[in-house]
Amino acid sequence: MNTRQEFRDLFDQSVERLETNLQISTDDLAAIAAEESDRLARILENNEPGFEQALIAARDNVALRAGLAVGAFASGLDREWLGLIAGALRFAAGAAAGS
Amino acid sequence: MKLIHVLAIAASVLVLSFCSSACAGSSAKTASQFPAAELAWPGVEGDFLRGLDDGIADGELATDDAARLRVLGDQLEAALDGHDSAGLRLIPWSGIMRPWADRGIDDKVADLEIGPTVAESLHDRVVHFTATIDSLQRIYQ
Repeated sequence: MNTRQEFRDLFDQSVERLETNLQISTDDLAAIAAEESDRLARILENNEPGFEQALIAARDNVALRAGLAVGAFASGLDREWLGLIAGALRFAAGAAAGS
Repeated sequence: MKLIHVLAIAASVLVLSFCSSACAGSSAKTASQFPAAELAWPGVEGDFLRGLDDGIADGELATDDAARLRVLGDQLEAALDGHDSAGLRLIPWSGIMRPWADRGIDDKVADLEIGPTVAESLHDRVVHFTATIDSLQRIYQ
């Protein structure tokens, strides 16, 4: 299973569980997240300094590119979305860099 | 009813339905763009402030000018926090402020604080943030 499909499965489940309406399809969101996690994996592989800054930038890039309606002061379910995206990016990047 | 009247009514309905769908589209777009820009601002702001400090240190930016740019940064933040489209339209992010954010990222690379791929990610954030601000400013022109 590729990274994009894994992201899509995760987002599909999350949309259902969190009863969220996204502005774009989960497939498009997964494509954006997969691009960002690939870059994070390269950073880990190259042992570049600044991974945590890149992780936050990746989360922001996903939100900006997808037009996610979750803000800096998100609460409840919106905050759960942000945490989910950042956590999934970190996990996918770590898995890809370690494989 | 004459044909001309029927056509006029049909045209009015078309115009009204176009306006309402266009306005709804703008509203939905804005509803998601403001929070995303608000989320990204702390990171972009850090790069922007770093760029100002670097400009002062290199003698390319006067302290007074840097202070004015910091005030603009505060105004941008307030406009994003308040979803204040009128206030946001007054902020010259793309032309005047944005280059300092890119400079801040380059300064981090020069200081070996971040690597080139991390810098690519941070520069992309500036690009997407700028596109979002441009879009929000266009909607309300």
